[in-house]
Amino acid sequence: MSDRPMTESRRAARVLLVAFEDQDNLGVRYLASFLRKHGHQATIVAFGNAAPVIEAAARIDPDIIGFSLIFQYMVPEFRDVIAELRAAGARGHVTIGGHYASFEPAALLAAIPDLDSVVRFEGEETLLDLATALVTGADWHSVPGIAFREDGGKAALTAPRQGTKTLDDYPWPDRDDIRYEEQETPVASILGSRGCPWKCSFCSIITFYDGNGTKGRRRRDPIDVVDEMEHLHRDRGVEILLWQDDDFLGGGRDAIRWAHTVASESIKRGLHHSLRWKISCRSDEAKLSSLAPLVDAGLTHVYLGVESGDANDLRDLNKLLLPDVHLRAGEALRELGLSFDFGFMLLQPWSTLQSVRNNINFLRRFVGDGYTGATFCRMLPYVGTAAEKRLRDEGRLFEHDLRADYLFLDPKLDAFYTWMLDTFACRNFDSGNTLSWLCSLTFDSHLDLPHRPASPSFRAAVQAVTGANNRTAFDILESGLDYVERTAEPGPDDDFLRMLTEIYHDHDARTRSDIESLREMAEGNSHRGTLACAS
Amino acid sequence: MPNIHRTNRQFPDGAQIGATDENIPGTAGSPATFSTDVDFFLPNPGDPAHPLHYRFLFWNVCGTIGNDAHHGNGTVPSTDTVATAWYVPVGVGDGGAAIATFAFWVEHDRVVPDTPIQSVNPAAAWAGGNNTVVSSTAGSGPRMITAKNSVPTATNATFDHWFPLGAGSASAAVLTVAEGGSTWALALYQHHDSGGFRPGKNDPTTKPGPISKFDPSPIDRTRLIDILTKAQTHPAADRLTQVLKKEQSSISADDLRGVAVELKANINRLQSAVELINAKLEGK
Repeated sequence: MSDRPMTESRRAARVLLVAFEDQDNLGVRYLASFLRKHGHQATIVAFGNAAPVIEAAARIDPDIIGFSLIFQYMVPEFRDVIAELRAAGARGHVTIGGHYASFEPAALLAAIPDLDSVVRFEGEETLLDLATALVTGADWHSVPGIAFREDGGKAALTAPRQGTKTLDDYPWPDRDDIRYEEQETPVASILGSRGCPWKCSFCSIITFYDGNGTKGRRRRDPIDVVDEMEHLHRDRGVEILLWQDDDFLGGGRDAIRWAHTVASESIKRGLHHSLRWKISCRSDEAKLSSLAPLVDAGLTHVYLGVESGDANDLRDLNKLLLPDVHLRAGEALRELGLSFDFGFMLLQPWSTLQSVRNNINFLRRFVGDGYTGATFCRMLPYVGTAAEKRLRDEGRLFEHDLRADYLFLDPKLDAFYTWMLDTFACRNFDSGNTLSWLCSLTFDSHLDLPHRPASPSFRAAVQAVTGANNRTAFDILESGLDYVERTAEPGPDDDFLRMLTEIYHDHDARTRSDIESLREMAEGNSHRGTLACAS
Repeated sequence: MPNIHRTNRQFPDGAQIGATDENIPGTAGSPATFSTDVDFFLPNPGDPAHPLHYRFLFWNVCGTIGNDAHHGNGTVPSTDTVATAWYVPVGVGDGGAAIATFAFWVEHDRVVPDTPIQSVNPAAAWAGGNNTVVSSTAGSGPRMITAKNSVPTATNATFDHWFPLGAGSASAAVLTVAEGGSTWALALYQHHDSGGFRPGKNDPTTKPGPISKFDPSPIDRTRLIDILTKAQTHPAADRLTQVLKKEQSSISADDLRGVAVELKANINRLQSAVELINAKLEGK
């Protein structure tokens, strides 16, 4: 790592970081604070259209412009913005990072001609070395952990970089430009750890950190974590913390003890009175004994990595648990009065008609009561995952415009999926979809802060609306599955499936109307302003 | 304990007149009775010899509209409410042979700028659009003025009844005024939860009477009614009817499956209504 002190001969690099900022983007905010700690200048601008990026580049004249690519499918948009940036006269070194960039640097360099390099895996030290090399005139091509285009156009990788073992050397992420005071109920993201000890086949977190030489989960000093929490709460007015840890409880007993230390220290400092949390964890970690101390400290919402309710699916996903574990987790969360949402892949590459049916039945048992909105989607073969490799080995992966996809083993499921995607786009997939509203209202109805106490009647109303929508979605899914099963060659546009779509859309419109009523009710209860922060 | 905000106001702009402006503690569920003068005078700085003269029009006591100046009656709701005596300056309103209508938002105790008129018979008596005045001479026969079920400004409120401030009689949404007659009439719009001042007695959702001490709040009732209404009017009935109207031999299994799915969606909504009621009965 380049932890060299500044010298008279080295000027500070000017670094412009471009990233999505739906929630605080801690990835680039850690990069910014780390660069500043080492004497460089860092400015963050939100990714969107090219204009703000060009404006910032013209103002700063950056030595490096670093892009954070979160979604593989957005490569063309990044390519266009970078091209406009170059056309506008930006001269700085353009680099890019993120999961896809780390795993497929050659494809990315080929897809984005204006790119100078790719920063692979964790970027703090690599970006610092790159910045330092560029302002000192050193050969940046030897910086470990990057990829670049050789003279012949072929991608070259430098030596891999060993990631730091401890996260406590990193300064807190830079949040100076975030206007928490303008939010009615200020919400901030925070990280207590990086990495995940599990090896789920659909997830690239494990392979990402493997690539960095930092297997498993690295946790920060819990006291320093609570210092950051206290700073956010007392100095910045934050009332809700969204823990961005991939698995807040992952790592066995040590991890539970760590989480409980964070909780007890928070309580000792009195943060639990008016600071609330959201965490992510697995179902087999969502136990009363593990969660109760966190609830005392302010935990109000859990994102649960459920993924499937079918035993064979769970085996394919390498989740290492059975569906009953999810049901028990749901019971524990209800007993603790926590709101939750969850990830769920109704379909995965090795699905069968029976596994989909089992999943629908599971969802009925899990959230048929409307305690939270039921999500369901299809597994996407993300780059760097075991599932992607297995599909590739089976000859089933096809790629188009940097997007990888697959067909199901049973063609009937292809018809089912196409129909499902269309039918439930308004509910599950479109921007501002019905499910996101239901989940946000669920979060909101459980949120209990001194100035906006939770309302049991509001909570009951949200659950009732969510329950009606969930059950109807399950009924429609089941009817669609019945149809494709009994039909020799079903097509997504068959009359019966069209009718089901029409029925769901009608029901969805009525759910939307209910949501409007719930929002008015929330505003009447002074809940306005916190909606959607759980998503 | 709810407060009753007692004022005198000028019709229709709502400007306060006189010094009456006080909050009187009330008890939820108890009757409230107020009295005021039919004629109200204020000093006229511009012409001291001729004081400003106001004539009583109507009361809004806790959401009950009445025209007896000496007996303005209402029932105190659980939240803050009003007792407003509405007056009109004497000399106003002599506009010839016409019927002036006003959409009055009861919960907000004010006239809103929308016309309450949906239609008029004879049609020639009303210019349409947002006109609030009906001629009593154009066309022939009595004027039959039908009120709109809702007006844009009175969000979520619906028409309750006509309240003529002179000639005319009302039946349901129709106000009838004799040809050549001249009068003012209020179309009263009320809703079920204003988030603030909420008269109890005239709230349509309370008319069936309380279910129990755990009676759902007005907004819950509104939602329940909405759920039940939509369920009753859902196209499922049409789909079922359409299927039943088919020749027996042409009804397919998929037809019946479609009806079943749609009815299930209705059942799901009705179940959510039951859950809401149960939650209330359990005191959640």
